[in-house]
Amino acid sequence: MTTPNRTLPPSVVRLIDAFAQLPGIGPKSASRLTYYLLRAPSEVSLTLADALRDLKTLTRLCSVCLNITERDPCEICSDPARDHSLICVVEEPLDVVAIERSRSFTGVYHVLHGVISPMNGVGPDDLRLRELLARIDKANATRQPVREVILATNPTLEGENTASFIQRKLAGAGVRVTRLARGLPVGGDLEYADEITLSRALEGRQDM
Amino acid sequence: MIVRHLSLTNFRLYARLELDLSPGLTIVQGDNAQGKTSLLEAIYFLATAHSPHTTADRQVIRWGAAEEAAYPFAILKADLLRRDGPHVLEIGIQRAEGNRLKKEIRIDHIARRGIDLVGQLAVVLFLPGDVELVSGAPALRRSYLDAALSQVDADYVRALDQYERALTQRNALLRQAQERPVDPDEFAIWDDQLVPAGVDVALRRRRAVAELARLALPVHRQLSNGLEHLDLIYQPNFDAAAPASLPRSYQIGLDLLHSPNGLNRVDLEAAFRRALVDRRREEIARGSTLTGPHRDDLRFVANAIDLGDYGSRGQQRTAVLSLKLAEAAWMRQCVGEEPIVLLDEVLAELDPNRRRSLLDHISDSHQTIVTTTDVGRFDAAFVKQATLLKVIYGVVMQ
Repeated sequence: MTTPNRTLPPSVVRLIDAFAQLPGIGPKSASRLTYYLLRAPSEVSLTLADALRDLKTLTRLCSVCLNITERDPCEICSDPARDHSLICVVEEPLDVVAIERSRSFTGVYHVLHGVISPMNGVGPDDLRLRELLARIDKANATRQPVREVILATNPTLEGENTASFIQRKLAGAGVRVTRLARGLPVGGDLEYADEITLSRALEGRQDM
Repeated sequence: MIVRHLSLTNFRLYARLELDLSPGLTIVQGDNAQGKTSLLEAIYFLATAHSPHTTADRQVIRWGAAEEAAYPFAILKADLLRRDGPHVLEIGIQRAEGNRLKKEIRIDHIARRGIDLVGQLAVVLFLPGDVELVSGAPALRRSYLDAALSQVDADYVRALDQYERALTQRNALLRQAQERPVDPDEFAIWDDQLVPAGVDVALRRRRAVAELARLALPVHRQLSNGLEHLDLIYQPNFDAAAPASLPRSYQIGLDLLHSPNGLNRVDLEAAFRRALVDRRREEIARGSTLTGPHRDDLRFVANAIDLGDYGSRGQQRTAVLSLKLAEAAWMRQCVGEEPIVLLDEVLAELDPNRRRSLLDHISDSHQTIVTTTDVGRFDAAFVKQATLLKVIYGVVMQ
């Protein structure tokens, strides 16, 4: 890592370098954050340090849905009010947060932690896909089988292909497989929609 | 359409340029390495957001600019006059962190995506090296077709983009298959993307080539004094009807080269898919996809002789000239306006007969910009009707 000045104490350099490793933070922002912490009261640094340590020591992946959690199974998986026969498959934990914010989903989740992308060396075995299939098999052997799997991966080339791969794996499992609809954003303007979104919205039009 | 004003910042050797351009013919005169070609390149860049030299996008930023700023940039701007009124195109290019290149496109001062440039400014560029189109590697002919279609067909740009992204992923998967067992479904998902996009690319290229061939035929007949019948043939490497590889013999039966045009999308997709499955083992061994439009070719055939293999240098040059003139007519059909014609040093290479034919074909309504080291090579009448510009190391004088 490049450091602006050789005369800086090693402890300062170490923090600048540590910040600079984070995504979206360049050498300049890293220095600015470090100098802010140097000037701020000690509590600020100590709280941050505690939070950083807890982040790794207290969290783990939920053994059911593989979302990040502090207790296992997670809040959602252990909630009897949720519909456990409805599984929404997402790429990342942040996608769970986004869908929860909509307050319109009452089922449970499964987090893949990525998408299939041979270019980046990610194959199906690098995702939490086996866990999904095992989870469905296990549920189907009980009196509470999975009714529906909603594939909510992103509408990118890799997201679409990951969804299509899962759909192939679930064919014949007796589970309904659905994909999130694609269309116009609410509050948007037809005039500014791109051609592909618009044509998908037309294909997916519904009776009123 | 015409470019009325061109303004460049840090483009090639132009630190700053403000240049008014006139309709009709302009002759740009200057010694070598003074910036004549860069003017043509700038107009081409505004039409396509790419340098005509496929790998040189980052090199368009003026060399000295890198010493003046941490992230050097170039800005190109053209004031256009089209049938639908005046427009402004701007492209900013900046070298960013990690050696990346950021491009920003503005059409009429509003930020747009690259694909929105399609149809804004149509240019036909003829460089001295273009004779290689006939004799060089197939990749040159494919990028020629890609560049021409990308100026006029937004659906082509989308299909090609999707195809190339799926191809990159599929090739990576083929290489992984050398080391680990790959689930057949892993191939299936990329094939599902590759096949429809690939057939779309091939069909659109085939249609464009058929149109170019139709337009090039009378031009070439005239350029060759009625002696040569030029045919342009798009040769896909997968085709339900055609044999896997065509014989490249001296005399090619033309009937063999023309696959029946009745082939529809469904047949082609099935043929493509079959080829992908049949050659899977070979593809894994080589770590790359062997079937698809990324391996197609365009062939120049005159009087049943493949000019790439057996044409003389003169024949090849005439064939490229015919192609370029056909391209200008084709663009007019696609865009509904005369494209701008940019000729770099090529007039000097032609004999007086062909030069006259070329200038006859470029009508007065085309804005044409010609570069030359020596105006004396043109006859006085030709020079008289032109606007003369002189370029001396990045400075243009009227």
